[in-house]
Amino acid sequence: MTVSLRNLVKRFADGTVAVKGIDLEIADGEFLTLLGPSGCGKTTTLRLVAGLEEPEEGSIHIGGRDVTAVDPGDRNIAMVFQSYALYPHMTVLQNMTASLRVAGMPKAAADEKAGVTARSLGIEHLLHRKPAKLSGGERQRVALGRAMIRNPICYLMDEPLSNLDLKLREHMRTEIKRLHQKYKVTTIYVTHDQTEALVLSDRVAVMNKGEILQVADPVTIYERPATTFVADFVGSPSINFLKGDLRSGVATVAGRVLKVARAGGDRPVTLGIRPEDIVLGPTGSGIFDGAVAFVEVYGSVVIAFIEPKDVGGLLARREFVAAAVDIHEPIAAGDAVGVRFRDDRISVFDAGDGTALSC
Amino acid sequence: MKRRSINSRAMNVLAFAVVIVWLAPVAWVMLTSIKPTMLINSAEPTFFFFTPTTEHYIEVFTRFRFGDVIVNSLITVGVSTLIVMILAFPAAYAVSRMGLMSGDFWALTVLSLRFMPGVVVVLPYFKMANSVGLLDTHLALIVVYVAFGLPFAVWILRGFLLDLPREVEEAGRLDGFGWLRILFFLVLPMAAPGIAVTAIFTFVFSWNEYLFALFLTLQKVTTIPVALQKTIDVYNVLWGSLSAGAAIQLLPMIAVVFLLQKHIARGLALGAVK
Amino acid sequence: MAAEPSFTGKRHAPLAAHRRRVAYLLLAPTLLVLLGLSIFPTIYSVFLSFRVDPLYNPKVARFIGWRNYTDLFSDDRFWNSIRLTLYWTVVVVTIQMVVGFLLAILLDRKMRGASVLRTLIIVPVFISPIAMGLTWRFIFEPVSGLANWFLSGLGLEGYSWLSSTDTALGTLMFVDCWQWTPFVALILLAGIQSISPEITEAARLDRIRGVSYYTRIVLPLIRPVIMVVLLIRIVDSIRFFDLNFIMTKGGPGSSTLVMSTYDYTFFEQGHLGLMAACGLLMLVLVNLVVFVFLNTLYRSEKAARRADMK
Repeated sequence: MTVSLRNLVKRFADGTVAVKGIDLEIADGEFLTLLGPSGCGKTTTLRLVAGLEEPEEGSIHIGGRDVTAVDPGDRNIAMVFQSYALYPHMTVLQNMTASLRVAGMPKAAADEKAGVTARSLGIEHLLHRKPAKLSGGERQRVALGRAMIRNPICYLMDEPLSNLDLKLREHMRTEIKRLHQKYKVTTIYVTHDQTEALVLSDRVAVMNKGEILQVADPVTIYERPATTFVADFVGSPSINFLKGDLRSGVATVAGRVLKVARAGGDRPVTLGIRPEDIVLGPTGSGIFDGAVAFVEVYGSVVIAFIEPKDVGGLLARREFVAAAVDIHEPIAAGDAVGVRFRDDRISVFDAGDGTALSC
Repeated sequence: MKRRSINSRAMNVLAFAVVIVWLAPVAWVMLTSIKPTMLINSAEPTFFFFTPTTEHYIEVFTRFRFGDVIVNSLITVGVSTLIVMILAFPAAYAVSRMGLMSGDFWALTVLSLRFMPGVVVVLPYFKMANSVGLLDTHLALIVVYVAFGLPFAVWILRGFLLDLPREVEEAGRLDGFGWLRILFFLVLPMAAPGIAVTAIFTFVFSWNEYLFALFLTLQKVTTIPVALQKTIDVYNVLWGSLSAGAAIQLLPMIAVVFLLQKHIARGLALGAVK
Repeated sequence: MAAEPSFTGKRHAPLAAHRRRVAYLLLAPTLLVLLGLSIFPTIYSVFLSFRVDPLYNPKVARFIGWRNYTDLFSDDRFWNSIRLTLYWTVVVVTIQMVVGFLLAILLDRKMRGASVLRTLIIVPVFISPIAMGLTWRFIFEPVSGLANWFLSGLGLEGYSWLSSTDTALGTLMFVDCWQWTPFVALILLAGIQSISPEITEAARLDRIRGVSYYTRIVLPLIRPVIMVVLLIRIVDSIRFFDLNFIMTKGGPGSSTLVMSTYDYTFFEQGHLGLMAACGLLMLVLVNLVVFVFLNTLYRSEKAARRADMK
């Protein structure tokens, strides 16, 4: 089912505007993630779609039907809460069949359905336990099962993995992806973890302060971010920002001209370059020289933090340029290096409002 | 979890000592209830070395018909507590879920009715009960205890309900539960401990109640506090019977407090913080 | 992409309205009961306060306007009872709060019998005021009472406790504090124990110990609990009746004649109109105190809490 959000505005009683006019079209079967920092409005938006909050303005359409005034229980959607929100006094079986029984399905049929769903999630041995006796991962799967059993036309997930430890999180992430591939139900997913967003989604909507900054597939978000905020939020370790200028359609940094052309009048710009797109060589071989201040080992990748030499006011933030180095290439603190960029991978943003400039 | 307290052996001993001394008068009452009458009234108080007697307890049940009295107390206080809980649970839920602004207002309004001086309403109650012929009936007291127990019950229960996770209720809404179902099949089970505590409080409140029992009952329906009063006449206090009666009145209180001591204090504090 | 929100006016929110209606529906029975059993009788009391209605001679009942009130205002004993009530409240509540806090600190320990202690200490609150009142009366009997017996055993002179106008009020205060301090203590204790242990440990590392720990850390953190207990005890003390009635009935003389006891004397004399008038004035006093309390202490507390939460 398609989901449409049109001009949604949500204001809270204390005056804060959580959602400032959001427009979003989600295709049938699409997995779309709302990504952003705490307080950006992503959870509020999700709750608006669920019907747990009502918008001051705008409308919500699910499957072509205007559901803005429709009770949450009648929207035929299912939600997985961050805290799972399992009914604590009911067994797993009762938790899962609750919605079916309320709709009038006889116990035998509902239990049978629950059995099938439980088996597909690997929790059929837990059916008669109560939530208190389950581990985090098991509760999460019960919450999923409760959502799945209704065959909803849309899934809403509110940071369902954030309460799990790393290993479990990765496992469940894969599970969710697998389930989506199999059943292709429209899913709206909320998270502040950009890895999750990139891994799971067909498209990502990056939000900040109640607005959507960019909606695109993960690769585009990563490689062609629309604003400095998006560039910074996505990608770990985070992108490097350098101060530069745009002169006659060509970017310059540290006095050197780069092979980077952009449309637009002369202005100061912020250049974004990711650590993996930086090439280190001997001093003098790059745009500028620097010394390695310290090194972080990430496994197969090592990040060298470089302090630029003899180039003042180069960095827009932080004091170091982070460069990714293969673990097999020896690099250590104190080394002097020359810093070069892969020109085709540089992003150029207006230094004032942070929006990306295109060719 | 370590917690800072003035932890030393001396303090522990002091704590025990303080409590023991504090309770000495109560212990005195308990002792008196099993002391032979002669020893009670003698000039020199005796503390330990006597043979206990059950004569006062027997007298209390025969001469003062305490059996009936206990039943009266149980009926009036028990039924009124039940009614209070039935009314207070939905009300506390409404007040706790109505959002901060208006919910607070209603909570305070309800609470302020608890502050009513008894004397203001005692007389109207008397006249009202009289005019409908309900004087000296269980119903009159039940009605009054409901009126006075309700505000506090709503206040305490509200504190407990505010603590419950809203997300479970929201999950219910998404599952298609109507508000009635949510209230009775989701919130009620989750709030069970809070409900138990509130019921205890309400019960205790009315168990010792004296003023209204005095005004609204005469012969047929006497509750324990009023009956105790009858052990006193102009010249003499029947200490033995009084103490025995007081001990009996204290029994359910002790049991209840011991079982739920932690929850009780937490309930009051919760009602405070919200 | 976000556009400028077009403000088409306040949106009608049907779901929220429905929930609000349900909330009122749930609240309605309770409000009705309270309306009928609290508000209505109060109105009736107001009505009664403008009449003279002798209990023993109902036929003479009639409307007399403000005379009950003017009679009260011109009665010295009325003003005396107000003064006494306020004095009583201030002293008794202060003692209960201070001693209650100390008692709470004392009971806040991790030894084995701790919960037994906490159970026992609340008994004075729950035991019948009548039984305890009479027992205390017996204890404080000048001639054969335990108190003087105890004092004489120590070689000290006895007092006349409840029989003397000088000491009666103080004796009553003692008994009331004996009964209610544990109540205050337990609630404060619950507040103290709800302080996160991490805060306690941080204080310990900062070498904040002993008295300053309690004054700078504990007291501010349990302020909301203190406010509620304070309010409850203040109001209950203004309405003080049970113990007073059993032990002294306002005497000797009028040294313990607080407002509720004073009001009761009208009932004994059968002047129902005066009784209603005095009771209503008491209600006014209680509401005044609550109003002042909520607006000064409580409001600053709420503002402080809001600031904390930002």
